[in-house]
Amino acid sequence: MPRETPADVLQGTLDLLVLKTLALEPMHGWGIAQRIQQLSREALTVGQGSVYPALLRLQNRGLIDNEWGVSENNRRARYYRITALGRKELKAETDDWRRYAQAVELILGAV
Amino acid sequence: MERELDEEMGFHLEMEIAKNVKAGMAEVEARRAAVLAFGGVDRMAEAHRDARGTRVVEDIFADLRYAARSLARAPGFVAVSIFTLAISIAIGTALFTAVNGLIYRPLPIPDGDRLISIYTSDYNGRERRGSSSYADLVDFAREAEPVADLAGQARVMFALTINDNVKLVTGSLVSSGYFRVMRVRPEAGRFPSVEKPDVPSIVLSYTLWRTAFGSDSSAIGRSVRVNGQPFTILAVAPPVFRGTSRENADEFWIDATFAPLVSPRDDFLERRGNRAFHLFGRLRNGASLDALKSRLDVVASRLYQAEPDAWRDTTGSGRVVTAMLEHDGYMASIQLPDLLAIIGGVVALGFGLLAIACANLASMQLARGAARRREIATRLALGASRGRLIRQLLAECALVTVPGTIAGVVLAVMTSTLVSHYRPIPLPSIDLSLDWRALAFIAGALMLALLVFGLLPALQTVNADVLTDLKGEHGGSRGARIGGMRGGLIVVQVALSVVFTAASGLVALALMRNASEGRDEARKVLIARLNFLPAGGDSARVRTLVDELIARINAIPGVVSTSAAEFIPVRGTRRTVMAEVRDAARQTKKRELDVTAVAPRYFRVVGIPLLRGRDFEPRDVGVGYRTVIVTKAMADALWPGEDAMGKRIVINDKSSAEVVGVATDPLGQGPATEHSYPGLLYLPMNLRAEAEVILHVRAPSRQAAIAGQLAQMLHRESTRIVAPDVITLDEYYNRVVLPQRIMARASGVLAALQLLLAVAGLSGLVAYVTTLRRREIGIRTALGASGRSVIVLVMRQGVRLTLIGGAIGLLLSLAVSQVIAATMPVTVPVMVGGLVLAAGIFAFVAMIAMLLPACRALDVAPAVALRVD
Repeated sequence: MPRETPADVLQGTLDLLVLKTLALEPMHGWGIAQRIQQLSREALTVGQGSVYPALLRLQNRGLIDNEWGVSENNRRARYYRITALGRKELKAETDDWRRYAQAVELILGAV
Repeated sequence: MERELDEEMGFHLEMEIAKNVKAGMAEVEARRAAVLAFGGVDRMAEAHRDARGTRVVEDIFADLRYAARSLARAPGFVAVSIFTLAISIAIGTALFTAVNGLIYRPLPIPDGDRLISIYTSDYNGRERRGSSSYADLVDFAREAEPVADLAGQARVMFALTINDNVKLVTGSLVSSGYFRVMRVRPEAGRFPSVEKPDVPSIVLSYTLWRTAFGSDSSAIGRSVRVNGQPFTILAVAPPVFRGTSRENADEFWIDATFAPLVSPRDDFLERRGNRAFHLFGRLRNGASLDALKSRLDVVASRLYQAEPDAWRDTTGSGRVVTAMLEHDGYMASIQLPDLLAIIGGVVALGFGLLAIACANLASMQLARGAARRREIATRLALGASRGRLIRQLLAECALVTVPGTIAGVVLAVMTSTLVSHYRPIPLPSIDLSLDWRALAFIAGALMLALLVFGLLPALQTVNADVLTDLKGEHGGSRGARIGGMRGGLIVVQVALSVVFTAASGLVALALMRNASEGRDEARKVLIARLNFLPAGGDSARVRTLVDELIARINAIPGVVSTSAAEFIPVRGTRRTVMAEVRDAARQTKKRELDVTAVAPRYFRVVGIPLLRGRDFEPRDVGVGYRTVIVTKAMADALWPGEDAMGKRIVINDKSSAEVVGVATDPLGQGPATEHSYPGLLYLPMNLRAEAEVILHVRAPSRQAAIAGQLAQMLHRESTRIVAPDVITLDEYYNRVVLPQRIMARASGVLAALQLLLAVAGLSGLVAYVTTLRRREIGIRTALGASGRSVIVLVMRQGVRLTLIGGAIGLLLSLAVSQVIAATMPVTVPVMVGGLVLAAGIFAFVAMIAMLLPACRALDVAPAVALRVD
């Protein structure tokens, strides 16, 4: 049953999604929000105000770092990039999430 | 940092706007939508800045404002904290300053640390730091002249007549040059010159000048009488200078050369054996202490040859002269146990006080911290950072600590200034200027205590599991018990509170009993204390004088009879003789008995009923001790079960006296301490000129008028006698218990304070438990628990802690009552009454303090309590 309005990203999963996005390519904050929306085929929207706190959190944990670069429209922008530690964390969290989602699915699928 | 943040936010918005425009929105609309989607640029930036910690300075003001608002809701907490802090700082500093001044600081005179003391060893050669005679001083000074300037002073008590008022005052006979050696400058007038002044002159202390002349500078040059002889006031000493003794204050100084004029019986100047003078000195520029010592040794050996009688000690060798720094000498003169007792006592008192203050502050902070767990948890959940919260709590601590410390410091400075400059009480020469190190230490300790105890619960909360705290669930099982520290603090507070309440109650009750019982008789007796001046002549003439006086007093209309005593027996003071008594088993025993000596008709005059025998009569006095009168208590103690009449007592190994009467025991000696009260032995009075005599006059009515006539009559004799004032015996008893009255007041104030703190602690505890157990109470009520069982539930802990603290407090009170009993008539009913009163007051107040918050638990509607969580 497709929903009319896109769902907000669940708290706690945002970090995972941001990491995944950055694992694809370094990106600026706005781009990350757009990319999540786009990859989820508009099913998820990221509260734009929560992207930056999430970025800061990840940065404080050493999972990502940043540098200033030039954007596609020739503006100065801060680009975030995943670190080696971030990739390890991403793998671990992805596994966790899959286990969790399967478990939920099993329960919901029970007759 | 800030700029980069702005730039990043700006970039984001711009991208969003561009996207919206591409989607077909108007420029303005696109911007609005972008900002909305972002959730407000300002909020975002703020969250960032906060997290990056660049706002600390701006936040401090916000924190302080918030803290002020939050504290304004707990004015009692703030007031008590600030008050506790201020008082503890002031009292603690005063205590340490006093010890410091008394023991560790040199005399408060210029270059006091370089003043030198010179001692002569005593007659048995054991004590090296003895005093010297005036004749010795003269010899020492002459020999030491090239290396040092010497002076001496002898402590005396003379009758000073100022503006027709006669008073016995302590002061010193000093050698010429005394003030030069002390290096003090006069407050008014000029100190006597070194050459012998031809007119008898006197230097007054600042205190005496202020009280007797109202600090009037025209007092200089006026005349006062010293032991009846006229002296001219030459100068007034500065307020801080009270002589060279740290224990006694001098009120005046007279050149020793006038000693024969005022004290002809004591040969101060000529006799080598009259070692009344303490010697001091100043080294001349470049001279060494060793040079002075060797010169003094020369004098000592010369005097040993010339004056063998005065300069040989009991071991046969010559006396030894010692010179050392005055402060070293003073330190050496304090017995080690005394020193330890003083320092130990003050340190214990000081730290005890600090401990109580810290306990109170800590307990209040802990209670407050606990009550705020939920508030803090809520704020954490709303996204406040932990560091931010700690800063916030620190700001709150500061709002209490800073004013409290400032008030304490101001109070300490004021006390010190008042005491060291105005000397409201006759304190001896002690340097009581403010000790900044002590002040800093005490203020630091208290602030630290406040911070530690203020932050501990806060840190605990900040690190706690937010969800649990938020849900209030930890009240269910693990948090319901009060931490050991908090419980301990409450027990301590309850115990202290009970002790202080009991002590003040005891003293108040004892005073009441003292003031009411048997005082009717004491109100009918006027007393006048007489001291005889040299002009009064020898003992025989003094006896005639007193007889004459008594005859004249008896002639005053309204006077029934007149007698005299050497001493008024009151609790806390005693005079004793050694007596030999043969008991029932015909065994002779030596024991020490409490005595006073009284004149004929004493018992009739004072209104003490004689149970057996007779009063003293004129034939009993002046013939040694041939007859005595004992009190009932003493008779029972010496000859239990026998008739005391006719028994014999040998006094001081010579006079064998017969018991001719048995009197009731005097006032204030109650049955509670009967086992320790030994009774009183009355001896017939043998008047001597050196002794003090207290006239007792029975006047059943018009006491005030008769007292006036009596005072006038005595005043006319002021060349021969000093009689400071005429008061009733009742008034005298009241004056005797003045320290206890002050103690009762102070103890009462402390008791009220402690009660307040203990009650606040208990009430806070119950409120805390109630809050913690809201959920449980809701469930219980829903399941049909009665209101009573709910109250029991929340009050159980408080009651338990109160009972433990109360029991400890009552035990301590018993010990305290023993101390009080040493100076006050504490009878069994008084003691039981005092303790029951204390326990009762405390139990009552504590119950109310706990019931009020407990009743709030009853208001917990089950549905609300459950839903809230």
